[in-house]
Amino acid sequence: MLDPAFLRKLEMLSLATRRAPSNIFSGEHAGARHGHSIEFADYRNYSLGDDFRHIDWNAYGRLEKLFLKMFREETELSVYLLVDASASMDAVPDKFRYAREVAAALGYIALCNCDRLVSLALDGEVRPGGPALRGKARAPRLFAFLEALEATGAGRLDRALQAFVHARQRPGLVLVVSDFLQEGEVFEGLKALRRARHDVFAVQVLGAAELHPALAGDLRLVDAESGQAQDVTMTGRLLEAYRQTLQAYLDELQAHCAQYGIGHALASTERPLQELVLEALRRESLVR
Amino acid sequence: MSFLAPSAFWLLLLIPPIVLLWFMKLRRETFKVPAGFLWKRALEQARAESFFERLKVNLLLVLQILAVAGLAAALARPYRTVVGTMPAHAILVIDRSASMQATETGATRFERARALALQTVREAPPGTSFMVISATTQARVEMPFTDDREAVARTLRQLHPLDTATRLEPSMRLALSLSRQFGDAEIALFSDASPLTSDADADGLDPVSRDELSRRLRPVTVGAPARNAAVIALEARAGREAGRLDVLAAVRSTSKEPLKGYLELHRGGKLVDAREVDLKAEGRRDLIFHIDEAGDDVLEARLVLSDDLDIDNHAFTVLPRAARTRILLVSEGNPFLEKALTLLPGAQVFRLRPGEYRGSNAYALTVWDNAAPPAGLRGSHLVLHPQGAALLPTEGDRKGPFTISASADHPLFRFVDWTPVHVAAMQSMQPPGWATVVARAGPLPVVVVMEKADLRAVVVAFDLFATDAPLSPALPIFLANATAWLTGTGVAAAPAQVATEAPIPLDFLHTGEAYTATLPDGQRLPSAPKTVGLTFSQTDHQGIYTFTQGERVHRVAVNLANPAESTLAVASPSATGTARAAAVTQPRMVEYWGLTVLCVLALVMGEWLVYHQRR
Repeated sequence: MLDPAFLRKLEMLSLATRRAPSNIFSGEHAGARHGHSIEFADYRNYSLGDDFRHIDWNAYGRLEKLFLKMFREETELSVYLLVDASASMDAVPDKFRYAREVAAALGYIALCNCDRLVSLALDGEVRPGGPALRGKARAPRLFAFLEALEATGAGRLDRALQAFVHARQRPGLVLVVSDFLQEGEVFEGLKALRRARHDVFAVQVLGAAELHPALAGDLRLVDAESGQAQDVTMTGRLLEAYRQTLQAYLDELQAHCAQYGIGHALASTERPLQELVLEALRRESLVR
Repeated sequence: MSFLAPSAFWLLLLIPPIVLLWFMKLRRETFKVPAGFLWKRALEQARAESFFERLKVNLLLVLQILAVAGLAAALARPYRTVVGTMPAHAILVIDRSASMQATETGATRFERARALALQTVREAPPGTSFMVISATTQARVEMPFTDDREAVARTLRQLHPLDTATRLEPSMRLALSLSRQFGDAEIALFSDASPLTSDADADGLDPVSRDELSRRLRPVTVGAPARNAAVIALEARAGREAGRLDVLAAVRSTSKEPLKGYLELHRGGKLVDAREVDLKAEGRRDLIFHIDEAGDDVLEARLVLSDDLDIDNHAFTVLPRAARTRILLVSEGNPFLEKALTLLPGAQVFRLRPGEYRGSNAYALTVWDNAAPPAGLRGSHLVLHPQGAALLPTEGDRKGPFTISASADHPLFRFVDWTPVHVAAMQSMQPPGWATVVARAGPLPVVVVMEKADLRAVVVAFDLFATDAPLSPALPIFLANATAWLTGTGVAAAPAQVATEAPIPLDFLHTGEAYTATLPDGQRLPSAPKTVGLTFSQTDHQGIYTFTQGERVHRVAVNLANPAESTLAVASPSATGTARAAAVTQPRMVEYWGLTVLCVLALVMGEWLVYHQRR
């Protein structure tokens, strides 16, 4: 599914989360609690009964007081990869393929970092997915899952996201790969994820034909999901109005994401996948 | 507007298929979009921003229908009948003859014609070039082709009628030849006459020219039947009684009604006699007046009655000068010469021997025969075989024989044939530089003319007894010519009267001396020194023309005196031989298919632009 050379580059990356994961399983991420990793976290005063092997004798020498070194606990990060499999994702060429490749790249990064990866498809509800995957060796199963996806659903994204929240998943990093094109309340789903203490990142995938439609003449536009049709005569003015409307929609979505601390990146199918992952997502602090 | 090919409107049947195709084209292509709601919002926004967006949906259909309709209209060749247009080149010929001064309608015919000509210029379409030609007995280009209407109008306003007869053939010939340069040129004739009457052949137009003229000519006839009477003749001659003159005046009416008035005779501006004139319809009266010979030499006959043309109510004449010419012959005795001089009409010959001459101003001419004129000669002199050198240097006789060759155009030699005359001997003369040799025998001067301010002399080199001239008719004719020329009488006298526009021969003036001509209106025209054969041609107006040369004054009367002009006939449409209406304007068809095609092209371009803008 992905180019081997690109996979090698992905192995060097890791997913960044803004909130420290608090998982009971150990992993490679600095957890929220103190533990026994080698990463220094903090000092605390010595109390009777504390392990004296953790006393910082250098601090005692300076301050003539006893302090204990605290170390971070290394815990496992749960990464939830939610891929929009509604019909709108396949309404323009290459869009659903591109979305799956993005999902595959992000999922691969998570597996390479021994994160716990859960991959799910959304089409108005959460489709039943496979078990959680850990380790790079499980990448083929991830790729197989993604390749088998079909964008045929007609449901609303916000409902699917809310259904995911109701499933009481362990808080983690939720990567939503979708076009986020929904009339009204699309952001409610994302807000629900944040309320569930997930770290959310939205990768909005749009096709070139959506961003720069090259339509002309008298057409009947049919919505890919609802099936509603409307007759238009494509003129320059209408095309310009569409671009303005789309841009306003994207700006509004981005503003909401920023307001609620949700990461957002616009991924156009015109943009090479490597450039998206290695530059844009790194710039957005999703990968490092 | 009408159409030359209305069958082209069958093309309008293309419109229903266009509408049908339009509706068929409305089967729209289905296109799946991921976010229909965004397109819905965009459509609402676009519709809100532009009202004309909705119109564009149907604009293409409308443009296509209009293009087909326009094409059908263009092929149907629309035209409109336009009245009052002129072609790109128009020649305006305006009649300035005396009859155009008739006032049967109040204003003169010429004023009416000029007004119509100005109207033609005003109403012509932009770009029309005009030429103005005035017509009398001659043609005159008053304004060459120009599209400056102000200049044309100015030229027309500056024209005025003359006292001349009508003869349209020269102006028609001129206009026809000029119009041939431009295929679309037409000739508009503003006149009370027509060049295409049955008398046109008499005017000299050949049948081909008449045919072409009839195609190009647009006669604008002015005038109406008029009442007129005219003085058609005024002559004076010696009366039966000595010292009296008989003056003959003829009056003619061209009116269909009787006319009554008076004929006054004025001499030197004063009334000397008057007669009642009672003219029947188209009648004539001849009257004879008797006046004294002595007195002013200008006579005017003035017809006083109510008619429509005043100019022909006047006629002028100049009375002949005293019939007796006093000639002094200075000679030892020459019976041939004396006899020849005595036979001259009106000549009174006196003889003196050369030694008896003491000089005198009592004689009109002094003839010197084998005598030596004294120095300081003044007056008129004929010198035969001069002696001495006071008049001009001489070198004695030369032996001949000689044959004489003379200037045929000099008045001295009119009708004189020197061929049979043989000269055995003649004086060798050395004429001064200001003298003119008018006859030679080889290199030798035979007859010399000497003219100065106070001297007019003809010097003949031979002695009559040394020639056979007395046996030839050449001698008396030469003597008559010389006497007339030297004294300003006879054939060399100023004519009593000429017709208007006819030239006045100025033989009565001294050659080489400047003169001044005074026109009837008082305008004075100084001129260069008179040359041989000179004529005066500015005789457009009736009246007395005065020629002053030094102290000598000569008068010549110029009269219209043209019965045909005085009839004031007006050409009728039937008389022109064509079916053209006498109107300023002429209906023309102006087609508009070209303009319609341009509109169709514009519609097609518009449809193309709208279609591509939509794309």
